[in-house]
Amino acid sequence: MQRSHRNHVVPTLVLSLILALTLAVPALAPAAEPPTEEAVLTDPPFVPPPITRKDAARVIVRLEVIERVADLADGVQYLYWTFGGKVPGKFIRLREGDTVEFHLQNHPNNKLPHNIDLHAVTGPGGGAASSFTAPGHETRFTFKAMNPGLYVYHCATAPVPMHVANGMYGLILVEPKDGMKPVDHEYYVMQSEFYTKGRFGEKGMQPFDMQKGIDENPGYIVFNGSVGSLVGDRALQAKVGETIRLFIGNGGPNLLSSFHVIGEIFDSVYAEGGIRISQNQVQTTLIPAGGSAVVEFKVDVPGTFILVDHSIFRAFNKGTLGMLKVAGPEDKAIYSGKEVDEVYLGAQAPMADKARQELTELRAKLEEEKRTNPRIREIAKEVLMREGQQLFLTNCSVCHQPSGEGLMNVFPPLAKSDYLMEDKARSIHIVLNGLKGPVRVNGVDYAAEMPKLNLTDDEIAAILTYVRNSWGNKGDMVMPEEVAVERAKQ
Amino acid sequence: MKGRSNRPGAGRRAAACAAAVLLASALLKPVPARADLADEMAFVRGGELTPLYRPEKNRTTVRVDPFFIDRRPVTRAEFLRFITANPRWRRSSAPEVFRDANYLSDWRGDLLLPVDPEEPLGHGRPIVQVSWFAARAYCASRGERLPTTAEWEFVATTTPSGRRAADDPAQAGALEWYARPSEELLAPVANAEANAWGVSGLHTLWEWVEDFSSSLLRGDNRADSDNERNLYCGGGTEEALDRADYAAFMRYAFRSALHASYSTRNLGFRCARNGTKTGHSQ
Repeated sequence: MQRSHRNHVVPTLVLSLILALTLAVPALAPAAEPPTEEAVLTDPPFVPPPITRKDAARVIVRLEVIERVADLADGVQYLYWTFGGKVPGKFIRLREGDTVEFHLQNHPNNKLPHNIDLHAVTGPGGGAASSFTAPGHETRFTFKAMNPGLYVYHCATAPVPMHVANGMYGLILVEPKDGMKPVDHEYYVMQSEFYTKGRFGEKGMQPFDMQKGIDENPGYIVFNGSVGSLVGDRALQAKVGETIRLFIGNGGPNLLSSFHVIGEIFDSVYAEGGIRISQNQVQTTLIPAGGSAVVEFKVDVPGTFILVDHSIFRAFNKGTLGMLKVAGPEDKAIYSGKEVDEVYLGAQAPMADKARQELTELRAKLEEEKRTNPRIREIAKEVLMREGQQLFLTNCSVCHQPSGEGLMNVFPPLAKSDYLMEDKARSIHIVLNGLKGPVRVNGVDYAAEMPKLNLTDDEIAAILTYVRNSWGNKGDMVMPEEVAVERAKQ
Repeated sequence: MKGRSNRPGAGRRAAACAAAVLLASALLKPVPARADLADEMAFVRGGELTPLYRPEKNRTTVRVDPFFIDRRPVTRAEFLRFITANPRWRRSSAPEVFRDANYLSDWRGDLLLPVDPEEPLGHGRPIVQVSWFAARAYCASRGERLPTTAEWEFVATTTPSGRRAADDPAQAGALEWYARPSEELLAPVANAEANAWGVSGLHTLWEWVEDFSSSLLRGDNRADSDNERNLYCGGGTEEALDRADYAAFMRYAFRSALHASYSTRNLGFRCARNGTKTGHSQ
């Protein structure tokens, strides 16, 4: 080894010289400035697009601190302190070697000074010392993103725990120079706790409770800032066969997360937000407060997969629950779905059968009563009228006017309208399909141009019941079943 | 690394500005004298204050001498009178070294108060969006000064009977203000409830103090615990004498974020003067 090295000294020297000369020529020309670009920032659960450039750039990041009230749960409000308006804050995506010009803007309506500590920054306070900003002011500092990985950022202004507890954290990704393997979906999920004066679910504006914070006893532990932020329409989406990468953070301020997706196994985990796959086939990965992880998995079967903190009381009693909805064809070889579900009652079987039969009869009786009892019918009509009024004001009143009088020669009247009242089925048909062409209402000709509105049978029934029983019109109720009949005719 | 080191030249600039203000205050036209001092100012007989941060290595308290302090924050109407008499403090003419772009930026004009749906109540709302220089000039025009941090904290956190104000139900709401978003309109000063010293409005907006910049919390508050003077705290709590006083942490942090030329939406002031019950001086 030693000898062979010595043998190569002369040729190596010559080579280095040639190399040095070659390099020296471009070096004499003025060094090209790296390109400057404005960072794309996204609100959770979305992630900025992967970085495609092959070289470092000067990236400008503008992050605005906004103190604002938003829903922590249904009917529960909280004054969030945010990096960019949402909790967690904007997702920042960079490439290793980028030079970042960081602007921290403290909105003039804010009450408090703030700063930012980015765990991706090498320097005192992770930038906190250089970004301390009073309301209505902006600070700037510059750093080089030297270390690839997924990092947490957060506010570090006194009292630090309170600033973090109120929502001041987010994730910053520094992609390795060679980029990351492409996947079908990337999502941003961050867990954190909220310490409210009221108990979980207590309605109204909830102030921060310092003592609960000190005791590490949160009322809420949530994904992406609020209960239900990742359920229903807001669930994460994917299709069977796709690969998903989750960037998961834990803002704390106090608790660790045992992150788990019910019904999935993580193919790969980049533990603690590092750049290497630390483990394959992982059921639950631990995410420390002020830390992160990247998990990747392929979804093989359709269904709803539930994201939880597997410290499981948190999921069911404090809000740590999200959803991933996977659409696509089933694969019974991987998962059969429920094959057998039979009643198993043991000795109580005969009694249970009797109770079930009685219940069926009672329900039928209740339905019958609803149909025939005049008092219930009256209330039902009132309800339909009020619903109808609300829908009318939203959908119809711009043209037909709030009191149904229309606009002479432009929009036909509904109040005391002969055309409306003489044919109920036609009126249903018009709301269902819209109306184009000449129409004569109360002796005046109109060129109708009414659009088709995408309303349900229930909504159309409510609107028409209202319209046909208001402003001097007298008619009977329009039932959803009648609308369904007209719809079926199309 | 000291707290102000992230403001290069701040000391020199402050000195120059202070000299300019001194000069300017000599030229100030006085606003009408106070009708009844006892009516408008509360007498605080002083005593020992235990501030949030240890004042010196082996001391936990500072001495506060007797002083008078405005019962209420200065109102828009009062500030309007001041700039009417002293045009150089109007928005269009106040020198830029003495104010930032936010100075009175909510006003409609030099002498036009912001639109207020509840006129003339608007006159009674506290004046905000004023710089430290302007607040100081206002007090100087009355022959007074801004309160010191120690005086302000003394009147906000103690009671004449020696009880901690934090135990006083009238003051327990201090934290609540921070838990609410910025109001579109700050409540008129007359609406606030007075504390045991007869002083009100202390916890409904921020207020300038004479030595705001001596709250040397650094930009990164967590590193403050290695400060040689042992004044500051890791995470804002390590060296603080009362770790539970989050409201005080926020005040100290807020003051340290300010420069003398800054003005913000929730930052007003009140004036103070030295004195004893029998006679007072400047």
